[in-house]
Amino acid sequence: MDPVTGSIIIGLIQMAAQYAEKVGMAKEEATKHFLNAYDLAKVNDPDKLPDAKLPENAGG
Amino acid sequence: MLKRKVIFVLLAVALLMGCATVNVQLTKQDLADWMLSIYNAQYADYKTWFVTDPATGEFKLDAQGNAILKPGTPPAQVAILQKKKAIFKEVWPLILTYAEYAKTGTVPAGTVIGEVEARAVTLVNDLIRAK
Repeated sequence: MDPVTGSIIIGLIQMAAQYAEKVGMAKEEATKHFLNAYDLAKVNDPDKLPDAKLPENAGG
Repeated sequence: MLKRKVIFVLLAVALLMGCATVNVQLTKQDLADWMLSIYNAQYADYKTWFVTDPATGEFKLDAQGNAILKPGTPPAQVAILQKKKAIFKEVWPLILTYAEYAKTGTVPAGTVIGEVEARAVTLVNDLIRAK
């Protein structure tokens, strides 16, 4: 893990703890939620998405 | 546990229905989290329009190698999906850059963070409102 990623994750954990306090959520679960959002976005590469095309014979 | 799940489901539905836009002053962290949440929800929704192999979860392809849209997908929806994919490609690096900035205060050399923020907010709102 590079230093930038590490500091981001630490920050996210702190943010999650604050959020957990606000909403009364278990800290572990809130941390998971925030880390998931960032990590998920990193792997959600738009180039992995297929193009939306109608079939060539659509509409008859 | 059930209450939390209900809250997350309601939030996801609100995001997908376009009920969530930025009209208030948010902290950088709040804004980054808003961007990440919308992006991830919209990305997941985009994938649901395609036929997947139940065993592998991979997209099924036609004879030309194109992913297959679910039967009955109207042409208007296809146009929306095409718009959204173009937005995904532009906004993705901006969101990741902004998320890093929100947490570390650092940006890649030559980056004007104000421009990144403004463009990312515009594009995320475009994702929500795409018609």
